[in-house]
Amino acid sequence: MSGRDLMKITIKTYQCLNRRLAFLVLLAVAGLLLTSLSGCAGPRKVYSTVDELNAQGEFILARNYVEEHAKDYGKRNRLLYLLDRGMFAFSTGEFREAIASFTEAEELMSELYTISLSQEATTFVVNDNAAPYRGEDFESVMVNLFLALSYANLSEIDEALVEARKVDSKLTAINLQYAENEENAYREDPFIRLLMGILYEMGQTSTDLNDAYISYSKALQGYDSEYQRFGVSFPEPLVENFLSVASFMGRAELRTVQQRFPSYRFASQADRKEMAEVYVLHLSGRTPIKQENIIVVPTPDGQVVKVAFPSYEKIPGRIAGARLHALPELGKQQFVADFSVGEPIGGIAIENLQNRRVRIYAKTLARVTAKYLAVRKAQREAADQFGGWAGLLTKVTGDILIFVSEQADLRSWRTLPEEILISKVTLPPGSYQLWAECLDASGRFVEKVELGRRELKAGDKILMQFRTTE
Amino acid sequence: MRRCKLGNLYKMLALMVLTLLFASCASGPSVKRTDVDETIDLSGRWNDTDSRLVAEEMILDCLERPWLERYQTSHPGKAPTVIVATVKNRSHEHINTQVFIKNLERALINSGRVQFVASKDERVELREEKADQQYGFTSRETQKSISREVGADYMLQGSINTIKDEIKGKYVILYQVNLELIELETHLKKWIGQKEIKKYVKRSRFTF
Repeated sequence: MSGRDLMKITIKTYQCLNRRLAFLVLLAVAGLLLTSLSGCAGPRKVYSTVDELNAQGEFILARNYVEEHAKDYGKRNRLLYLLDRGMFAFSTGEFREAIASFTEAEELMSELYTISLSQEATTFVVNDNAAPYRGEDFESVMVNLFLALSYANLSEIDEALVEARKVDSKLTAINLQYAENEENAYREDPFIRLLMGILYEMGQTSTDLNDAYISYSKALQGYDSEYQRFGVSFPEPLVENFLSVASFMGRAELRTVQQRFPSYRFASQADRKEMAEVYVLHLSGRTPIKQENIIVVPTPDGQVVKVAFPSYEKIPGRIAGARLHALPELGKQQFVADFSVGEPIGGIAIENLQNRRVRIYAKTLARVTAKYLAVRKAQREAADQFGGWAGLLTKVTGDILIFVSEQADLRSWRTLPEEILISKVTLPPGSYQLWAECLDASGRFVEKVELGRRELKAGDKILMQFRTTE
Repeated sequence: MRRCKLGNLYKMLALMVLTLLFASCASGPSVKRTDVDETIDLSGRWNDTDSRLVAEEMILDCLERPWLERYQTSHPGKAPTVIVATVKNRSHEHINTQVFIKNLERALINSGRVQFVASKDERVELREEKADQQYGFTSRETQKSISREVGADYMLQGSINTIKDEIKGKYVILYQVNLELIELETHLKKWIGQKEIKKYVKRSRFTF
């Protein structure tokens, strides 16, 4: 039942009851609608605490809080609950929990592909928050990325590779949605391709190396064609690994890659088997969050209506980079490697919303216009039948409902990092103490993150990560 | 005074009550026991039926091939000993390959034409038990000796591969299961089996 239907019934009730009682019924109806609309606000209440704990790096507390307030997310935002829970579990190293949450999130995203027409209709009457949150394309791919990383952290490389293959299939499907000349669309994710290449290399078989070659090749193409607009160049480990795998594939493949990187030094597959490789991901900062932009639009009768749109706001962070250190137990030579940006998540999110901006504007304006016309018609009918007082009452109540019901859809996976940086250090077998030094934009030391002691054997390829939200 | 139409008020109240009732109604899960052989496809992913049917068909094919007859000719009265090793999951899905391996073992044993030895992990546990029997707590008559294990003649290895063609909302997936029987002594491949299953999975875009 739409607000307008309720209004009509209320007006008719006004006819049969005395005015005072009708006024009370009208207030009750408005109250009921306002109560239901407040539910559309989604997990805004939860997020004030979640954001605070996330900013403080209190991931265990944040996860507990999210679990305790699962119901506060609301049924329509179950996906956001699963994504947040998975992200905090991942950040605290509880990878089994992270896998459980992200697997459920992936299944839910698949289910939500089917749009409920009745629910969708309510978004044209109330606001976009009335529909369940389905997740953006890039968020859908991120789920597989964190699943792959979780499996890799548990040394379940075969399972991590399943996620790699799913990403490949998913990106191909996403790519097919866009015309070749369509710009600024999320059609490829070179960072995930790079990570998948690293995972394939962990598989060690010739088939895996073949898959790694394809992944690196696509990653390089992606950095060239897709990520330059974010100011991100290909990370150092990509070139090194690509050349090495190309040398395994054959002379023709190596020649092709070397034409692009003629003076780049790399280790052959045989040489790499004598050493251990440590890849560290730095999940840095907090992804931008959506804010409500309100525009007041004048109406033909000299009144105004509220129109609300979402837009992203960046969260400034203190940490701008990091350096990886590895100190062997025996020996004093310290190994140091820089991090380079691989995945500009914040940039992707902002661009994603920009691409949908026209569609969101059109839908919002159509909805506000329809609500405005409905209220004015109801006002005229009420005034004609019951006099000016009833018309005024209808108008005031209707305008309040329009004002309150027009809320921008501010939902997004806001516990994602702002960007992911990657570093690789190649080490002789042995025991190492690993840590990262986080730096600000001027290269000044901000904080040290301990990554623990690791026993590394020849041929080991290890993937680790740490998170900073400052 | 106008005639009261209280029906409208009742309608509105009834609607509110119904909405609240629907919102608060939560039904428990419905459980129905089914035959284990019954095919139930829910998500389109690799399931128990695929695992069982592929295992049965492939083992049937394996046992009909000439390697078995040749073995029986060269080893009269003796059934070849087989070990099922790894079946690698190289698909787009998280498949519990242990279920498939157990289906293979079951189909092999039930054929009665081969015998086969315990897996690597199972052997570790068995050896621990036999070692425990040697400490003097077990009677000599029931003690099992530690060097009478039967060595396998053949190893069965394989992989589950997929090719997935996907666009939003629908996909075609081809599962290709490859199995190879390799003679342990010579590393000669005695049988290669392949079974394919193709599925078209479509999710509707809209519902009411």
